[in-house]
Amino acid sequence: MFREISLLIKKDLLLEWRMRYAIGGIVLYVVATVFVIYIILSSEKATELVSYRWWSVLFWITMLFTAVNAIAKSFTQENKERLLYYYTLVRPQSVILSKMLYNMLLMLLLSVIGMVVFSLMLGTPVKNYPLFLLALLFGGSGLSFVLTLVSSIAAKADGNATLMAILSLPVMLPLIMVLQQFAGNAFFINIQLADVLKEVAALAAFDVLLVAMSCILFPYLWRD
Amino acid sequence: MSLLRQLWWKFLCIPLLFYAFFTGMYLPLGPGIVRVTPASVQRGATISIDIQGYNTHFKEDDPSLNVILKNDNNLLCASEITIGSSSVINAEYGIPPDLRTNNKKDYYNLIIYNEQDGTFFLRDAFAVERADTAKGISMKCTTILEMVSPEGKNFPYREILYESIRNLFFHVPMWFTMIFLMLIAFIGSILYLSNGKEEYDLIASSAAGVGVFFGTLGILTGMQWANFTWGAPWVNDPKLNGAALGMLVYLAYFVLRGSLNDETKRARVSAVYSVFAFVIFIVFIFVIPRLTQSLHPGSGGNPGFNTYDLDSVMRPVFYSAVAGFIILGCWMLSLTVRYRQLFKIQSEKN
Amino acid sequence: MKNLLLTLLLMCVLFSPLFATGTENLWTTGKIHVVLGVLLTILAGILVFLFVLERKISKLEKTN
Repeated sequence: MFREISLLIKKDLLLEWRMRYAIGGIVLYVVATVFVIYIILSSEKATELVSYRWWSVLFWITMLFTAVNAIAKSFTQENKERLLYYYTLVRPQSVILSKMLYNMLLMLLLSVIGMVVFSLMLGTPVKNYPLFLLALLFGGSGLSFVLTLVSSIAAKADGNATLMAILSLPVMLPLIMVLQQFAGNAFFINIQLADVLKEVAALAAFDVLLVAMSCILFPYLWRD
Repeated sequence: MSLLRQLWWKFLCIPLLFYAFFTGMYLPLGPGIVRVTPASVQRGATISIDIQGYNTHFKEDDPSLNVILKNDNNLLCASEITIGSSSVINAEYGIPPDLRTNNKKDYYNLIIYNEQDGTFFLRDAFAVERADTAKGISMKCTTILEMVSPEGKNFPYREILYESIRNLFFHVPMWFTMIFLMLIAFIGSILYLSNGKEEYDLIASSAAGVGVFFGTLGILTGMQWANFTWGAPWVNDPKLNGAALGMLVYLAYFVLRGSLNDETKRARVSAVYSVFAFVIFIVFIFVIPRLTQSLHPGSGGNPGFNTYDLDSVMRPVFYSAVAGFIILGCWMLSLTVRYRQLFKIQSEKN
Repeated sequence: MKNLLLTLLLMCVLFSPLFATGTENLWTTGKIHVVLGVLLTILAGILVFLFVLERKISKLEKTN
């Protein structure tokens, strides 16, 4: 099983390398979005212009739509025959787990890029970087887990971006709410990890739930 | 499936809903105090205050009538009480200058007792301010009142809500019915995934449809009620957000169904989404409210009701309304399922 | 026509409790109109459901 997963992830990385423009496009998407926000805020530092709450709203909205766009293609980039071929070779759980892990790596990369671009162009109210990175880790993985399963559903309906967005946004809402509350702690210097243990536990439990549900439900999706 | 065609359980909703509707509307509200004028006075003065009651039974020469002002430190009895009508009285107080307090302004609860209405009160009804000139009649008394319930059955009187407390029997069951129907959709989806019988898909999707119908009614009625109690049709509240999320999820479910053409594929893919979405919906409405605050009763740790919110008179009416509407929802579901089965047979014939 | 009269009668019976409860200031301070609005919304919703189902079934009968 582990061997299958690692092979599938390697295959995904190789594919991504061959289609470098796709990942480049997503990075450009983040940069362009932040640039639009920068222009709309009439070239002032966001931290001077708007409160940290608004900074966090803008940041998470950007991350949300980046994630939707980045992960939407995970089941549509390969043609149906090739997917069918994988299905004869490996277990369905390996397929979904490898996709989830791969998307998680992608999402972590994108959220770190997003944070850097945000800090460069709009300034940053983040004071407690370890805590914020923890939020990015849990948030990014949660978002990528939800979106992986939803993208496999949307791919069955010859997934267009609209369908992907309307299917995934409501199911991502609980995650975003806890995440935004949790990440908000990183704007204050005096909050330690021990103070937010309850929220960390909630996020981790939610991620585990998502993984379990994906493993149970995905085998029903791949038969055809 | 044969349960869908049987009639007996459908008729259960008729007595339940009738009972809920008639007791819900006929029982009066308990007595309460609407307002007190004037609402404040300086210490040491003699003041005559008008009290507007609601559903009260004030009578002339009622020896049991007692109107007092009370807070943690002091208790003041009226020196004279005049009855205006069954719901209006006037009470005269001499405010003593030597009250045991250091505050600039003290709030008093107005407590009224009579034999028929029992004890009822208005919190922080009356304010006494400190005056520079301290003169006046001292009228302290030491009556201690127990809380006595009014005669007969009635619903509790609550400020802001007033008669609209009856909406509890009509608005809240909409949500219970919606969640119940979505539970049916969830179970139907699981059954479809495990054995692939077409009728389970039919039940699941119809239940989602009727659930969305009840959700819409819940939102519409909730908006009317919220507009009068919280001052806006939509407020940021975990319960409202949960309801909106449920609606969004099931509307997305129908968009997904619409974009799939192959029948078995449509059934299977939408069943997967329905199971996934329902679990997240349950997490959202039962776990998230524990992490945040809500305007709805029973929040801040407990998504249900507690004894204070739902007193013993309201409870049977509320539960029969919930049961009645759930059965009505299932009845509507059975009609939809049967219609769609007929439609399918018809379209296969042609 | 007969059905309409029957419906009106039924509605009068159903809504009679609204006019029976409480005191003279029920409609102003009592906010009973909120309850009335909620009840009418639910009734209208159920009627719309029945109407739509009725039309669907008639269509089905016609194709038969």
